[in-house]
Amino acid sequence: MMNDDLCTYDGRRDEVLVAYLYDEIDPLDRDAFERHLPGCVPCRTELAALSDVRDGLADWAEPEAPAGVGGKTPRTALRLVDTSQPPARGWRTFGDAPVWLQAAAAMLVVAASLGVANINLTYSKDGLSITTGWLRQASAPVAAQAAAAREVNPASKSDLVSLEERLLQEMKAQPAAVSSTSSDDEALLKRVRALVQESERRQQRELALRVAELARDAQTQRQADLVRIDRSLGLMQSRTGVEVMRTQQQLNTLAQRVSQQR
Amino acid sequence: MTWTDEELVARSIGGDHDSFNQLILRWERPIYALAYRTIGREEDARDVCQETFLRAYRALPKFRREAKFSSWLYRIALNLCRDWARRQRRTPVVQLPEDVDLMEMAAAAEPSEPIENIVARKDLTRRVEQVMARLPEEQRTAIVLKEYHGLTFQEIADLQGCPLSTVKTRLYQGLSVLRRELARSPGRVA
Repeated sequence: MMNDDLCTYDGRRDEVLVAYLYDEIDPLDRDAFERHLPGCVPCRTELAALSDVRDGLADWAEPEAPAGVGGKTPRTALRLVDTSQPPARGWRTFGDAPVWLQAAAAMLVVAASLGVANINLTYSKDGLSITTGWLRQASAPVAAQAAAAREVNPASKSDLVSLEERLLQEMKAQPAAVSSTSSDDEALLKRVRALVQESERRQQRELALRVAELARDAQTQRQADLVRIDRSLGLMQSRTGVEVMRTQQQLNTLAQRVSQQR
Repeated sequence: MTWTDEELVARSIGGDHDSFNQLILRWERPIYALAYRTIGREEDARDVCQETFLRAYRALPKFRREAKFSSWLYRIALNLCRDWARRQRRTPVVQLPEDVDLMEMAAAAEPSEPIENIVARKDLTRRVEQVMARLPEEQRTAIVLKEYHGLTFQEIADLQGCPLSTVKTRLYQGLSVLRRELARSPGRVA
C-alpha cells in the first residue's frame, strides 16, 4: 500500500528523479521509476514542479552576444591578425591604458575643445580674463613678437645647428614609436567614443526601466482606483435604494392616514 | 568545407590562425553565455570570454586530443569564472539583458499583451536571475551547463571534477531551491 505523503523509493530517489527529469536515465532505473510513479503523489508533484522550474529557466533571456558574434569574423579583440607574433593582450578599457597615455588623451581632448571654441586665457594685472569666439582682435604683430623674443633669448648660429642635428638624430631613432603613437591615438579615440556610446545606451536602458516601472505603477493605481470607484458606486446605489424604500414607506403611511381621516 | 573542432585545432597548432578564428566564431557565443549566466555581469562576461580564447590559444600546444575541444574550453572558462568570483567576493549582480527595450514596450500605444503580463514575465525572469545568483557556485554551474549548454551528466562531472552522482545531487538541490524561491513570488512556478 502506497502512502500519499511518503515516497517509498530507494535511497537514490533524488538522483533518479533528476535523471528522469532530464531524460538521461539508465533503462533499468527508468522502468523501475515509471512503475513507481503512478502510485507516488510526492514524486509526481515534485516532477511536475521541477518541470515548471525548467520552464522558468527557459524564460531567462539569452544575453546579448559580444560584438561580431554571428557575423563572418570574430569580434576584433579576439581575432588573430598577426601571424608572426603570439597573441598580445590589448587594452580592454580606457582605464587599462597607461597613465601617461590617459593623461595625454585628456590633454588632447581639453586642447581640442579649447581650439574649437577658440578660447583664450590671459592673466594680466587686471586679473584672469577669458575670451571666446573667432572675432576678437589680433594680437601684437608677429614681427614685434619675434623681435622681443630675440632680445630675451638670443641664440648663436652654432647653437641652432647643434640643436637641429640633435633633433634629426632623435627623429631618426624613433620613427616606429611616432607612427605607432598616432595609430594608438586613433584606437584610443575610437575606444573613448565607444565608451561614451555605451554609457548613453546604459542610461537609456535605465530610463526605459524607470518608465516601465512608472507605467506599471500607474496601471496598478488605475486598477485600484477603478475598484474603489466601483465599490463607492455600489455603496451609493444601496444607500439610494434604502432612501427610496424609506420614502415609499413614508408615502404609504401618509396615504393610510389620509384614508383613515376620510 | 566544414572542419571538425579537432581538425581546426590541429591546423591551428600547425600555425593556421584562420582555423583558430573559426574556432572562436564557433564557440564564442556559448562561452559568453556560460560566463554571463555564471557570473551575471555582461562586461565581465565579455572579458572572461576574451580571456578564455587567449588562454586557449596560448595553451593550444598542450591540448590533449583525448578530450573534446569544447570541454577543454568550458573548463578554462569556468576556471576564469571561479577566479573572477574569488576576486569579487560578492554575490553576482545580474543586469537587464540589453535586447529588452522597455522604453519601446512602455511607449507602445496598443501592446500585443497587457503591460501587466509583460512586466510579470520580466519579473519572473528577474527572479530566476536573482535566485540563480544566490545558488552555490557548483549548483549554479551544473544547472547552467545542463539547461543552457545541454551537456550530459558525465560531461558536467568531468568539468566539475566530481562523481556523476554529485552532479545529479547538485542539480536536484539547485532546482529545489529555485522551486521554493520562485513559489514565493507571484508567478506561475508552484
